Amino acid sequence: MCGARVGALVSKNTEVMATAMKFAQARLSPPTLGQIAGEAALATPQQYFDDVKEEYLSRRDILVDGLNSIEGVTCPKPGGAFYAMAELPVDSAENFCQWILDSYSYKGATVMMAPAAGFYASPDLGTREVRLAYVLEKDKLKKAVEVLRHALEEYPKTLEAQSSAVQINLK
Amino acid sequence: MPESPIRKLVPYAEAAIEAGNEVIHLNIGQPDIETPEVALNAIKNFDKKVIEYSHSAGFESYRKGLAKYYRGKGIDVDHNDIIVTNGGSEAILFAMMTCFNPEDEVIVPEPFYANYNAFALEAGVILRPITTYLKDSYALPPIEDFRELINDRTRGILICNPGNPTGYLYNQEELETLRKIVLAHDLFLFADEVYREFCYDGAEHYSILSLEGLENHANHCRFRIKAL
Repeated sequence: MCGARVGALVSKNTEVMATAMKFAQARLSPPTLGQIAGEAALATPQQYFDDVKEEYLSRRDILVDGLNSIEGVTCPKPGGAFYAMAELPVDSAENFCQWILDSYSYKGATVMMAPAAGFYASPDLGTREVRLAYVLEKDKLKKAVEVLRHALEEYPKTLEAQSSAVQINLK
Repeated sequence: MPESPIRKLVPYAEAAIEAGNEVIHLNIGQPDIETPEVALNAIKNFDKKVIEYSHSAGFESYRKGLAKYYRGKGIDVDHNDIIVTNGGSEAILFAMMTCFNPEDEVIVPEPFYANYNAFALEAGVILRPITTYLKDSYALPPIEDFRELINDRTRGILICNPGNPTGYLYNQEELETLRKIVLAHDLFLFADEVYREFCYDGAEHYSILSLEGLENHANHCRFRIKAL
């Protein structure tokens, strides 16, 4: 229910809370309908959380184990949330993410990923990494792994073809 | 202001769809898990004639409910310790604007949730990254690395636990390390614990609100109700 847009600032520091309250007053009110959903959601049965966690756990394992089975890919197993970072055997994850959308499909499907350099503040870090969210159903994740596996086989060939084309032009 | 790494490839995805391909979206954290029925029913059964403002801190009944949720997790807070915000994002922004002055520095382990850049910019705060590495599964760097970054403008440390984008779950020992650093240097500690309900392999989430002696140092931003 991300679209409910309800969150909370929690602190035992009364001075901080008094000042934060002034900012809260300046924006009048948090969303009324979101709060109604949020308050009701507090009564969510524990079983819901158990089921959701189990589902995410199996999704995580499908994605992470699948990625690690691809030659040259490293993906540490995350302990929480629903994101994983993976290092790909490419020079520029950004170029690869663009290429796979722009110029590649496997059995009519392609994959959209978030190039990880944008999650780093230091320059030149994360250039070979991507962030992946495992929030989709298991069959889609399996399919995504297969698309990536084939794409990573294909990608170096297209780079070679490009560079030989450049060499021909230079001649 | 850098472009969102989550959305910058959207035009290429649109082109792929145009070309007749299915695009599997691993780029964004929009879960397909159904919202709890109790929450949907509450919206469906809304019977007021006016959608009014609430109290600026949020409904008192909701804040009392949240405090009870935390107490159920062994975290001692009451409703006066809680301000309901517009997503976790606004909680982080309020915390930054409240605790820091322009040009103050905040240490944040990188890679970090890219929108922290925008919140820092809005608050005039400078984010100082401390690098974590894939080879260590993005674990917290050693205490010495933090000390190297701390100067007379450093006012706080911001973590996301469990992490977006890394999925890394900080253990109690790492949080104790942070506790020592913030106490030694009199810093604020912020934790974005929006994914606190999603911890795997039997691991329990350990909140910064459970760290002793940090009552005046710890702020914790949670929910955007993604937690449910």
